[in-house]
Amino acid sequence: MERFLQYLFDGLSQGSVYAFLALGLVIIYRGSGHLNFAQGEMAMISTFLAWWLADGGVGLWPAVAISATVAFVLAMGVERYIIRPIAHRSPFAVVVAAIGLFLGLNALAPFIWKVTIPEAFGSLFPDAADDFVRIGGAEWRLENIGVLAVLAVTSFLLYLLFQRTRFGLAMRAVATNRESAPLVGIRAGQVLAVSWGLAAAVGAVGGALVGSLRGNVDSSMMFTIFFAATAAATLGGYDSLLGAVFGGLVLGVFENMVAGYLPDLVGQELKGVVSLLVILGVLLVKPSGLFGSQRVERV
Amino acid sequence: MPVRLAHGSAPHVALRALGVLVVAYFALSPLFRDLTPSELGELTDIAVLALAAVALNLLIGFTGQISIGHSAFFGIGAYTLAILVSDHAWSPGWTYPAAALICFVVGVLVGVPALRLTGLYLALVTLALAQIFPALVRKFDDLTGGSAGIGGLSYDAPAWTGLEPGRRGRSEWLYWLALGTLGLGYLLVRNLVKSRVGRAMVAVRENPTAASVMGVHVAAVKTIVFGLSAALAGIAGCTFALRQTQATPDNVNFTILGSILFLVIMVVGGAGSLTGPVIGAIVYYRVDQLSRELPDKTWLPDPVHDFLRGRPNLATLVFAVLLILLMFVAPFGLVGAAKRIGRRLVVVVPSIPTSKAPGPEVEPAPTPTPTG
Repeated sequence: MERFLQYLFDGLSQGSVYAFLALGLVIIYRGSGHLNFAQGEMAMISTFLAWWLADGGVGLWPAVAISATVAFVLAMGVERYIIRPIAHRSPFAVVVAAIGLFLGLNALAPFIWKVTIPEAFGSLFPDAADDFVRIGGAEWRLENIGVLAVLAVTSFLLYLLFQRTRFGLAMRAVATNRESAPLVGIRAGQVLAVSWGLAAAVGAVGGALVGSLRGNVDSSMMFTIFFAATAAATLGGYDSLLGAVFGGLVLGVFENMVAGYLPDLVGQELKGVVSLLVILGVLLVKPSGLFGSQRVERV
Repeated sequence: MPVRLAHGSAPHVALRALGVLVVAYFALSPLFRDLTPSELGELTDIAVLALAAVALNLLIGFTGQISIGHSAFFGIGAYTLAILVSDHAWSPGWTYPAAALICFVVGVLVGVPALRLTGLYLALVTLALAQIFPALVRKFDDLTGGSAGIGGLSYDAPAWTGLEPGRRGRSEWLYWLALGTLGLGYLLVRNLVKSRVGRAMVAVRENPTAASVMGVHVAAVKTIVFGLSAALAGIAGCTFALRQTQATPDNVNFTILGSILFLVIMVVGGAGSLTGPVIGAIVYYRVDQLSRELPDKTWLPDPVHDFLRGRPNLATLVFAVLLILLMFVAPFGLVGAAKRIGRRLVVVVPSIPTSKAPGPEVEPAPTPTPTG
């Protein structure tokens, strides 16, 4: 039981991180049907910005807030000036542009800050050796609880935005029917730009949490997390925000359990295989995911 | 007004012969230029990258299936060679068909779920493949040597080649090997694309439903092309392992960045064009090399010097920007852009058949075809 709880607690904080990136993926996918391959790298460079600001004397939390704001604005620009003009050409063009962003952002962080080794990143939560709550014999570290709490707050704010505001209604309208939304006076372009902004801001918070948990920032910090987030979004369904959060948490816990209970067969090294099997399984059995809406295509 | 040339007329043949000569001059230069082993190594690297991009182009450019997992096939090829040579004392030459076969099988296996997946989801599955390959290599360390990898790989030139033994001969032999496999890969793709199968591939790319209605076996085309593409990438990986003299999971070309590198080369050169990936590999390699040497150039002003020092990845940034820019101005890469410009200067029209064929008289359509 103690072991189970320990894997659960660790898995939940890992899963929260997946959920943050998966939320970003879903927010963008709902509006435009594009998979943002640069989601992880956008989060990575935002985390570098937060690290740089914190290094320069700004407190860590304000630094994260600033980096999320900057990410919001820049990502709106990316949607408006890079993605939208080529979106009508072919889906392939958007994939290539997103991969270009991935590559560029991945190279930009070492280019700007001249870093070659991981740089120390402060903790957003109390992280001394004895900062934990003991539940059923297992240690639930305060930083892990903190990450989960930030996810809960973010999800709640997103829920309010999507369900309780006019703009959220417009976003849902665009997600439901991209062609008809402008006919009722919704500025679909603006909605898409804000989707990218939101996704980047959520990703920036997620990236900062990753940095806080790892204790450092590195230009390759998001590779495995982005990959797991695509699995989480697939599990939850690519057009469901609830699915992204649920998928992230479930994947994080499941992966941790499998790795923990099968240390020889899977272990920490092969955690990624769990994600691959989840992706394959979901796509072959129920491609719309657990919470996604089924789409019928007319040929 | 562009110059109009009849297909097969003397000026047209001369133009094509000129193109072949230019390519042959550079490709065969070790025969008549005294190249150092490191220069030969550079040419080998270019040929390896070109073959990987040719493989990817067969899949993405002609069949429209996106893969971000070709680094895994590249790595499987490299590891097949490394394991067979170091543990089973195979001659490296014989490992090539083995690697191609293994990669073909793995490629088909990946291609089968791909049948139910389109665009985005296929990209996800291949992304997963790229992501777990290095992890699998580390995990099964009694087979792969784990994080340390397998070293000491080399391929001495066989006696019949007449190449001198030692480092120089090995470099030259490796170049011929890389060039030969690239040539074979190119011919395979070219013949495939210009055949019935190729038209089926393009039909699948443009509209799978319509292709299926026209009688194309979409599932067979997709899986076989996936397997062939994987096999070619694996062969490129074999030469890469020999060139590196080792296979380690940390090698960047075996990670997802490798997959992206192949994609960049293919797109920059020209997706869906036969020569595109080769041009892309040359351009990528030389620009990357230039950007690495740039901080040491004395003719640069000092502020630029100081700025570039400690920033070795300038080329990656340049290619990232180029990739995005190309999507705006030339979605079919440098070769696509060159063809578009070339069409304003020279247009090749089909020649009018001279002998009277039986059947009704048909005027040949005067529609200009793109120059090759």
